[in-house]
Amino acid sequence: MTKILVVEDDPTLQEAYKIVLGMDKSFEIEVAGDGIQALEILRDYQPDVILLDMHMPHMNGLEFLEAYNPPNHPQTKVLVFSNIVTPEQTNQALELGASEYLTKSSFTPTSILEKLHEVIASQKTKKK
Amino acid sequence: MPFEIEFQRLTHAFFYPLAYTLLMGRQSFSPPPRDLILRTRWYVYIRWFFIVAIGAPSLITLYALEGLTPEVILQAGLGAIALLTNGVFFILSRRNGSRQYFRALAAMVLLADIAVISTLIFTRGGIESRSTILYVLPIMMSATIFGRRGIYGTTVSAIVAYSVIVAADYYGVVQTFSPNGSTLREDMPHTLQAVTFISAIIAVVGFTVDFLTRLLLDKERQALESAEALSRAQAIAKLGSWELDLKTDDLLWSDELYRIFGLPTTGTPISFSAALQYIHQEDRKAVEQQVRSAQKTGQSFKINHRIKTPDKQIRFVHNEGHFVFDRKGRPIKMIGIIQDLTAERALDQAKNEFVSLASHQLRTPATGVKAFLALLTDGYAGQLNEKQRQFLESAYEANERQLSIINDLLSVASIESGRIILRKELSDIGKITQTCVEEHRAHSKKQEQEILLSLPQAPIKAYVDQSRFRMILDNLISNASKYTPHNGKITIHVRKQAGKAIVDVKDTGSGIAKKDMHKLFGKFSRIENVKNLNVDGSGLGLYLAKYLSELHDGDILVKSRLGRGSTFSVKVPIGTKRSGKRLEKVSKSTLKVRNILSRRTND
Repeated sequence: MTKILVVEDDPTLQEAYKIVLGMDKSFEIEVAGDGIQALEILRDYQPDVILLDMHMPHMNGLEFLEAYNPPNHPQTKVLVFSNIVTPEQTNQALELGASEYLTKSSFTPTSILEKLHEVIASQKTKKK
Repeated sequence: MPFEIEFQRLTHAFFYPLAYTLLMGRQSFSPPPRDLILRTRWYVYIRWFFIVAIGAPSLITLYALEGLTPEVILQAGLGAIALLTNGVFFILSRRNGSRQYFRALAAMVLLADIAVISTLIFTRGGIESRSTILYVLPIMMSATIFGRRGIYGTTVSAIVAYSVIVAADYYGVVQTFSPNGSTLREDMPHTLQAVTFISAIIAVVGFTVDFLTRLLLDKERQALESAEALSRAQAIAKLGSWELDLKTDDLLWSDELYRIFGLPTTGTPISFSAALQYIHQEDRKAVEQQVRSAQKTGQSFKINHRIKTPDKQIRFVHNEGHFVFDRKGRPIKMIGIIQDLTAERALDQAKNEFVSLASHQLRTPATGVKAFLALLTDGYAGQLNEKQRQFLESAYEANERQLSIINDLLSVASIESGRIILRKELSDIGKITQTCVEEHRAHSKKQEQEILLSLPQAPIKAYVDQSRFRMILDNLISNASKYTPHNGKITIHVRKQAGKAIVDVKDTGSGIAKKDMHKLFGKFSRIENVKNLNVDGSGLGLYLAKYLSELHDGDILVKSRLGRGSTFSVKVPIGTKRSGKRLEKVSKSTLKVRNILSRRTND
């Protein structure tokens, strides 16, 4: 089973993520509405991949990255899925330990699945 | 009535108030503007002349009649004191710094004059003299407080006050005696004559003096009025002006400029180096450099910068300077303006934040629509028939356009809010262009357009912010694709010329009419013939591209022939190592601050 945590505030997109990721029976999905919820879930949940939105209420993506500190969790990959693609924001997220910074609006359900499989595959080869 | 008595009446009753009125006429209690004091020299000379012209004959007459009595000496001495105090007052009031003490000085002179006149009148004695004091004081007050109008006041109050006293005496309310021993009642016809005579003289002299001085002062007044109008206009526009003497480095500021800098309007001597201290420390160097290099090249300069007022407020200003040349063409001074744009900037910022926020809010549901449309097209809800697929694709495309417009809006908002800091690095322009073109290939294939790329043999490198430079190219290429019909051709050519790296994007589209050229890069501008075409666009693409290329110290040039196609060429300077490094340093050091800023606004 591959554990995935989706951090996304928009209910429509939460729904879409659930449907798309639910297609793959090897995925186990948790959904958080903002950074604070995500940190709570992460207390007793160790996902392989975190799909992270940037623009969220209460605690946004950058603040979450700062609090979570991905370098402390080498077994978890953080993929940022955001519509905010300024170089400043991108660089900051990458500096804070995000593995990749992707443009949300340019992804389709199929390409998201492809991307996830690609990331998971690379993770597995690393582990070996 | 003997002549000398008539003359004594004249001098005692009216010489001093008249002299006083003339002297104080314009120098009333309200401080006159700096400029006027500096220009009223002649006005004061005239008043002194009148004092002497009226006072001297009076003294000479007295001297002839009575010899050098203590009274004559006292009168002459007091007259001299009156002249002196007034003179000192005038000299002091001309000094810049003493403007704030003007009222105090005026009051002192008034008191001194009252003392002088009272002493004179009481030492001379007699009914004419004593009754005089009753209206001399109000006249002096009115002259001091109302200035020029005090002269008219003198005439009216002289007649009224004198008539009251005379009438009071006549009807026995008071009992007074005239200098020749007779009571005033007996002297009545003479007294009435004297009142009429003296009032007439006062009126004639007063009005004449007023007329003459007004003639003389007209120019000054006009200059003053236009200076006042200018000052008011500057205050309304929040625009101050300055003048820099290039020989002495002396700097002259308008009042409004002092206000913009939050300094007291007067009493703050300003020099170029002092002025620099009020400029925000981060901008100080840039401003100094601009001014100095302008001085060297003789060209005007324009710069937007921040200033810091003594109470620690930050203001945004536009500063612009131009040279004034002498007859031989040498620059002698620099004149310029500084406009306070703080309010406008705040408004602009608010607008940008609104656009930014609104676009963010719009983008989230639009992305949701996209996700579900994609779920349907990708068959997650079961197989689709051809019609369904077609409809969904149309919906998907419309949604794509919506998203791209929203993205454009966001980019413009972030550019205009000044949040963009370029991260320039030495980059291969050909490579960037190639990546860009590859990404467009799929799209142009769909449009049945041919896309050609020609790269130089040796790489051309320039210091650019790669993602922003790609944004420029993206906009130009997708623009070319939009306006080129099916089977059209888009040619992209990367080359080097005169120290510039150039990327030409040439299309075989509809072309642009000459009259529309100037509109091309405007915000939200879409030109006429294009509107008729079935082409979508926010009208922001070229605006963005131009703006970004200018941030790179570059430019975009257009060549076009209607019906034949257009060529858009983006030019950026080929980087020298030195300038590139320096730029990078700057952008890195400010990056932290900017990031905090952008994070806040993104939340």
